[in-house]
Amino acid sequence: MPVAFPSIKPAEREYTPPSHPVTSVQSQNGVTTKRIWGSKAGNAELSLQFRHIHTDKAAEIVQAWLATNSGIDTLILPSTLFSGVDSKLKELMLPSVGALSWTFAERPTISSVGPIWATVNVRLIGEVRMR
Amino acid sequence: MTAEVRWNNTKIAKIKDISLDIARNPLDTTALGDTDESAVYGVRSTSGSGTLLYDPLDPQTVDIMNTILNDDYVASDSLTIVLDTLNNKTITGTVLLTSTQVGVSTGEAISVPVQFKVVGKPTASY
Repeated sequence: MPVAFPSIKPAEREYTPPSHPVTSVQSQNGVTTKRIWGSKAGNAELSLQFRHIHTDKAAEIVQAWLATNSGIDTLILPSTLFSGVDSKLKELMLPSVGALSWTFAERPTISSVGPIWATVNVRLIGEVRMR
Repeated sequence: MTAEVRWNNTKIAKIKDISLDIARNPLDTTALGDTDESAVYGVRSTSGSGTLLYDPLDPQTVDIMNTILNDDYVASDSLTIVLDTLNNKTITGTVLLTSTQVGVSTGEAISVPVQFKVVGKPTASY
């Protein structure tokens, strides 16, 4: 069952678009041959940093991680994750008709800063999954 | 209105000047899409400096000068700045003495500049 990712605006965001499964071979005469193995592009990446957020919000991210069964179940990404991006790029990053299923690529890391503040780093992956 | 400085609750005989800086460093919370910076309070940091006039007959002055030579690991001395002795307006805290100097110049009193850091939260009555 999809899990809602908490609605928090990130301080840093790095997006890597999906790519098709392609293999490339270069023969000894220098000719490169490429073969595409599928029609759908996958393995997009989204790295987010939530800087100096309240530890309650950090807990919500950890709860989301656990609710996905450690990155097995998919996430519903809120639009706040894409704050500061215009609609054209946002549509490419998070298509309204979902071609990709997002989930955690790895465990979130939480650095405690000060009495009640934390900085959380999250890395998500957008995969092509069987429906 | 008179002011004085106390070391372990006893007045220091001769002190030329003293200053205390209480700061709270902000933690940046600006997020993507924001047009203005935002911040929350970080931890408080309190430190200060002052200049004593050397007086070998004043136990407080001598004790301060000896404190930097002690091999203690934790702060146990208190410093109190009394802003108004009549109405008992004070700022006080447990301090680590971080630096002392001795300055001798011809025709002037021997001065002892000191620097200190307050451990924990200072208490104040303004």
